[in-house]
Amino acid sequence: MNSGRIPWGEGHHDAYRRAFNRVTGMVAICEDLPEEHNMVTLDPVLTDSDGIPAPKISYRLSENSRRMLDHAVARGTEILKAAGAYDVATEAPLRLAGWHLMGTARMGVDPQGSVVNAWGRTHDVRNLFIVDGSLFVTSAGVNPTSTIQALALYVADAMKERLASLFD
Amino acid sequence: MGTPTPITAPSTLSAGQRDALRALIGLMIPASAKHGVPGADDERIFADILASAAPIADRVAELLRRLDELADEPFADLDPARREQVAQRLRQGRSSLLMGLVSVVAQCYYRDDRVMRALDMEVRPPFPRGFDVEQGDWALLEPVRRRSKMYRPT
Repeated sequence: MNSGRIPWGEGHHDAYRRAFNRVTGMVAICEDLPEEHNMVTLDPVLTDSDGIPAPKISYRLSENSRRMLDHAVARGTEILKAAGAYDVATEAPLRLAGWHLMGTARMGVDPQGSVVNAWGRTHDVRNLFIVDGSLFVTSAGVNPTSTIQALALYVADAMKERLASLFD
Repeated sequence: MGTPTPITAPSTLSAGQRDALRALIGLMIPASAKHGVPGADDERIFADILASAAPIADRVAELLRRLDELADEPFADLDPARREQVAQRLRQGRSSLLMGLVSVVAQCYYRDDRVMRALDMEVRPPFPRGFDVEQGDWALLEPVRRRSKMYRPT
C-alpha cells in the first residue's frame, strides 16, 4: 500500500487479491569500504541529560557502495524475472532495514596495524577492552549480532582466565 | 484458537481525532460486498487499529492535524467526495507519518478473522505450524545457472 501498488479505495481488494500469495523478494547485503567520510564523532552541540556529548553518525554512500547496490539490484531483478516475475519493485538502499556499524578496532599482534590484541585488550590502554562489532575487519555477509555476542563472550572468557595479570 | 487479547494501552486520541482517523482508514480499505469483507473502519478492526497504533499515537495525532489543515476544516465533517480529495493530497505528500499508519492499518485489517476467511486462509497465526509453500518449477532458473560467472575468483 505504501508503494502504491495496492491502491486505496475501490481498487484495493482486487489489487490485493492479484498479489496475494504471489509476492516474493530478495535482499542483497553490501559492505562499505573503510571510507574516512563515514565516522562516529562526539556531537558539538547535542548532549544527554548529564551533559555528555551524544554520538554523531556521519554517513553517505560512496560511488563504490552505490555501484554495488546497483549491481545487486540488477542481478536480483534478473533472477526474479527468470523465475517468472512480471512486476519487480526495487529499493536500494533500503531505508527501513538493518544498517550495522562495524570495524575500526581490529585484533592483531602488531600495534602498528591493529587496535586490540588477540583477546580484545587495546594496545594503548591496558584496562580498556573492546567487545562489540568494532572488532570486525569486514562486515561479513549476514546479520552480525550472533557473531558480536560470540566475540563478547570470547573476550569475557579471556579476561576471566587472566584476572591476576589482566592489566600487565 | 480464540482471538488473543492484544497487550495495549488506551488510545490517547480525542473523540474528534478518532472520528477523523476512522474516516481516513475507511477510505484506505473500504468494505466490499463483492468480496464479502468489512472495511478497515469496521468497529472491531478499528478498535484493533486504535490499540495497535497507541505507541505512535502522537504521530497519528500529528498526521490528523495535517489532514485538518489540508481540508481547512475538520476532516471528519467533510462530504465523501471532498474527503477523498483531501486524503489523496495527504497521500501525495508521501509522509513517513502516513506510511507508519498505513502499515498498522494493513496489519490489523489482514489479521481480522473475517478477512482471513475471505482470503481462504486458515484463521491462525503463521507460527508455530507454518504454511506449506507450493513448489514452483525450478527449471525456470536454468537460464541463470547457464550464464557465465559474474564475480572475480579469489
